[in-house]
Amino acid sequence: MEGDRMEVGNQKENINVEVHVKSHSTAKLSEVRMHVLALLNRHSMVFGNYRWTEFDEDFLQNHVQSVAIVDLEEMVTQPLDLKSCSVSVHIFTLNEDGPSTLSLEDDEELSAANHWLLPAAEFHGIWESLVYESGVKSQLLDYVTTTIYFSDKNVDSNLISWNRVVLLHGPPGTGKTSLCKALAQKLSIRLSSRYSYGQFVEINSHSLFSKWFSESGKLVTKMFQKIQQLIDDKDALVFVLIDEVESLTAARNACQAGTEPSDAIRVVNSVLTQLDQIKRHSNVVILTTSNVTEKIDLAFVDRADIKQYIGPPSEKGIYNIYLSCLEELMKCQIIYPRQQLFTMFELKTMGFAKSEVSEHSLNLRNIALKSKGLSGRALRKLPFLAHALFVKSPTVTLERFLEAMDQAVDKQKEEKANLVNGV
Amino acid sequence: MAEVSDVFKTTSNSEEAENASNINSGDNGIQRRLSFSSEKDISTLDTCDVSTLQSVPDNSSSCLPSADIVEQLSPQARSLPDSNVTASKQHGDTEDSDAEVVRRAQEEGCVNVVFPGTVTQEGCCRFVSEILKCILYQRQQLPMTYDQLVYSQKKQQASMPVKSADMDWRKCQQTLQELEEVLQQLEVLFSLSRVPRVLLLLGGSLILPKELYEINMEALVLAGGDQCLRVSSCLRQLFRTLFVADLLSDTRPVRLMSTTVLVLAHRDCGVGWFRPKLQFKVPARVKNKVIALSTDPSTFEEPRAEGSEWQDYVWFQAPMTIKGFSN
Repeated sequence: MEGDRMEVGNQKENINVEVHVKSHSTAKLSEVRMHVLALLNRHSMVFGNYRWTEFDEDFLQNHVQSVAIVDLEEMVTQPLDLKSCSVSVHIFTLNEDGPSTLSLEDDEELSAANHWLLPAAEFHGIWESLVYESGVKSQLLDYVTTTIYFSDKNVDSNLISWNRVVLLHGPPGTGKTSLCKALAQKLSIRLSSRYSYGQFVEINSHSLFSKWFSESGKLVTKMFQKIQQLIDDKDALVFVLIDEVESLTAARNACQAGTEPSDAIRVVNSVLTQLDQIKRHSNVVILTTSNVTEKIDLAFVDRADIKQYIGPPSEKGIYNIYLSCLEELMKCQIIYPRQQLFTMFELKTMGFAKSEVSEHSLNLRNIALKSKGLSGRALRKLPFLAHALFVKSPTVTLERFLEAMDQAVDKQKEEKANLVNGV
Repeated sequence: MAEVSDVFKTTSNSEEAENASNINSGDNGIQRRLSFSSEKDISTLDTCDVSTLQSVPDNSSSCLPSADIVEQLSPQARSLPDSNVTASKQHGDTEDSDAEVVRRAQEEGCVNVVFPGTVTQEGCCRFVSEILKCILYQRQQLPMTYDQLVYSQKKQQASMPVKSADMDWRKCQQTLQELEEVLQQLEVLFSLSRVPRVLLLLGGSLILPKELYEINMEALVLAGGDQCLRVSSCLRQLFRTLFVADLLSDTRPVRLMSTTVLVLAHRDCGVGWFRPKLQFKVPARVKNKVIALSTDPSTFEEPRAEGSEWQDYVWFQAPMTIKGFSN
């Protein structure tokens, strides 16, 4: 989408700049904005995404953690002149306190939901760590932005209907839950000029089932009443995450077979009606994830505006995941000495030509090709397994580590095969 | 100090009788909670010597005004004597009548304490820390008052070797350490900046706390040195009003929660421990209870602080919460 705009050329491209202010800073927002704009003025030519963490100016050095130009399309071939673009600066500080719990009943110890204030330190960096097919992340971002835009313009929701419900589905370990968290974090930063803060509520769906017959439906209503309280604050953007949503919205026709108690039907009904209630408010987005879509009630699936499939990563995705893992290990000096690794894009422009400098990168690409079919979660722990099982020394060269990773991939695949055979 | 106690003695007999019934009704709840388990008799007022008690807490003939029970630790038996009536009666003409105080507390959740003179910055800090301790105790987040806890904890430590495996002891120790740290850092903050407002948030989250208490000191006139009121007499007046208003008691049992302290302080005060929360807004949909401290305008002629004075003040949050505990 951004690419289209670039080809048009005349149209001003919108550049997002995220400014992460240090948590102990008390500087006025206007002052920070002024200094950041001055910085961008001095460095107005950029190639793609860029992050400043060191500053030549005292004010920024003291108050700002990082200034980052984000979410440009990866393949930027010519330098971008910031002066010809419209630049939106988003300034944020991270909330460092962990989640607080919402409980439905006063005497209940078990929490019904976890509640974060966004942008949360816990969620920082998730967005960047998630690698998907091009467009998935930006589509989701654009979807919610449009939702808010429509609400702002007072579009009659009887004529054009949108429900503020996002459903992410796909095999386990592909980062659906993480994507929800990252999306909420991103949006709370993006929309910080409109909403003064974001809130993230993660519902523990099991807590909504009561031991008393017929009480479960009421618990759902209670839960949504709590959420309603949060929504009533018009300055807050509220994200509600219902993880593994199939447990709340199991297909109702299964009940006819007598396998589900009628209490479960009440839960589904309750969730559906509450969702319809909540969509009237402009400052709420409901994020849901599921592994087994066929079990979800059709009426719920119908209410989701975006049903995004999140599959296992492609070869390019795997390469990027490995690359970020290796960068991290080199940063922590577990892999030493540091050696240059190319991005997939750079490799492609070189035509995958074998040379001394590209040798490691090509090796890594072969490992990536081999790892196809492994889930994102498995990929992220692979470097750890490689170190634990095959390296056996505190520091290691990149070459040796790549060999270990290769072995680890073999082992993973073998384990996976055994698991399938065993069943 | 001697002067102060003289005042008590001379005014006590005449004033006590006429106010006792009035106060008793308001104080019943507090009396129940503040009475300690020891069997000793409550001594009568004429044996009470305020000045010696304050300097020597182990004095066995004990009888203290309510504020001092909260602020001081002493193992003896103490029940709320009616002496607090006399202790604060000297300010009686500047205060609302007790009935009015109770009405405001019930209907508006607000208690006004008007001091008949200026106070020091250190005094403000004392007020805040004593109110914090009191709220934690009264809202059943601590099984005993803070000072009692510190004392019993010390005694326990001295009498037998520390059993670090004892969960209760560790939990108590942790809560005390957290509270002590917060209190210390409050002192630091008060030495760096004027603090017009303090919020105590119990339970829930920053946005939706279960209970919210505000200490408003915007209308306090600060001064340094000799012309200020004595902190102890201010505390006595403050806690007398609080107890009469019955702001903090609740018959329902309260769950253990964590308490967050937020203070409004100057943007550039340079405090390091507290985290600035520039975006924070006082939760509007939670019923908050306000303890407003102010200086009687008739005692001070200079023009009042205007609203714009607080423009450069931002909220700071204590980086740790105080987790309640019970045993």
